[in-house]
Amino acid sequence: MELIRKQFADIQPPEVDIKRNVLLQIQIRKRNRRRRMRILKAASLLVVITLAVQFPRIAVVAENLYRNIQLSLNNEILVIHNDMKAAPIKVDDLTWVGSKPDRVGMKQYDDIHAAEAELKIEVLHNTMSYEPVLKRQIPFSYFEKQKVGQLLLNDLFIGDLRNFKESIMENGDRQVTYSADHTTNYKSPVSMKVMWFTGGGANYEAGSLDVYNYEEKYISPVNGITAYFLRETSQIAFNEERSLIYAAGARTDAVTVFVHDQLFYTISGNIPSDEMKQIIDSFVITE
Amino acid sequence: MLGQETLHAFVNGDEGALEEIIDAYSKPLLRYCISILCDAEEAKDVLQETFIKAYEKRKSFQLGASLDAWLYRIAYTTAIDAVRSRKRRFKLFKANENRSSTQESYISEPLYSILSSLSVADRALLFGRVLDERSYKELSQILNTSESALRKRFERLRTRIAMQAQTEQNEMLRKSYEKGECMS
Repeated sequence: MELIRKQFADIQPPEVDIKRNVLLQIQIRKRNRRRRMRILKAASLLVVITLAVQFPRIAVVAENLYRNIQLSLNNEILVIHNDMKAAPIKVDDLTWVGSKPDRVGMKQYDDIHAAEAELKIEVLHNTMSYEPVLKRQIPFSYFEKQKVGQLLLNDLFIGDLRNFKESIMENGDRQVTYSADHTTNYKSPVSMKVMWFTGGGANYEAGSLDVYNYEEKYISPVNGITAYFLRETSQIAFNEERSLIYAAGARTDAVTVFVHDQLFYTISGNIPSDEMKQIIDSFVITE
Repeated sequence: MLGQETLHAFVNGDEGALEEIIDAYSKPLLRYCISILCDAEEAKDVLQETFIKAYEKRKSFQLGASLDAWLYRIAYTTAIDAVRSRKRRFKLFKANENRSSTQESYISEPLYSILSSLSVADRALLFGRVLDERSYKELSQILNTSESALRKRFERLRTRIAMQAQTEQNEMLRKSYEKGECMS
């Protein structure tokens, strides 16, 4: 080992002047590191920008996740729309009724414009509508489990009804009076319900329609709306009892449904198909 | 021996302090690198890289610890990297690892004969124990191996070198005996 130690000690390394090179290399590597960092930052920024651009697309994809509207009728199961987009909502001051998960959030909007503004929807205007309805309080319901929002426009079409009058009772209830006879087309005011999906989920199956038959599909020559006409299956004879039933609002002969701009419209009342077609034709669609 | 002030300045990125360290350690580290690499040119590169790495990793150096062991550790790992890289290079170009004339001038023939039969780790162990007379504790820090493993390895190394020396001695005796016979 002593011999080896001596031979190790005898190694005379050459004189090297590496200081300059070492310092130069350090400077070069610092510069390269800074450059890499800049490239990395730029690449990160690019990724962020790319992701930011992608987000709306992702949101759109998410919105597309929905949802069929399926109506179980007396004579068939009718699929109205099979790619309804979800339109999320943000509503303040909901009054909840019931308990989770089946609870329903409720709110009264001062008028249709207030509702549209907060709910971020645009309800189709109809030239045949009874304008005061749009200026009075509009009830909104949110069905949490189904992720469905709903606006109810009661008595939106009064047609040929006479002496139509509405009044608010002391307890806040609304009372509507009108007169009609057997020659009247409108046996009752016609109401409109607007419904939309606020999130993805299972297909929506509208209930309470199993007493209706699918009558016809109507494509409006005026505005292109494709509507589905449903008709009550049982017939009521023309007599005094019939008038009372209609007057009490206990029966709805005709229901028409259609989808426009991701809103599902249901129009219901006691009118013949021709009158319903006029209502459909009277929706104003603006591009 | 460098003062704490220099080491403190080095850790804080003072290039002047780095220059002092280079001045103090260039020669012993280069000898170390030549010994474990058996290649002077490669050793110079490793030495340079060692100081660059030391500066880049200066924040990891703990004031109060041994700068010597820390630098040797960096030199050792850099040398290992260089050998790996060399192996890849030789494999790629199918070159052989014959001794060059440059190496001959720094390492004696008998030492080269011993070192060339050892791994880089064993060369580093031999150098550390025999020339630098480092403790196993210090060597365990440099070579990143446990003290007991180094002890065993060094004992095996001694035996092996002794056997190799005996064989070489026998061969020399045989050759001189053959020469004598011819002469008579």
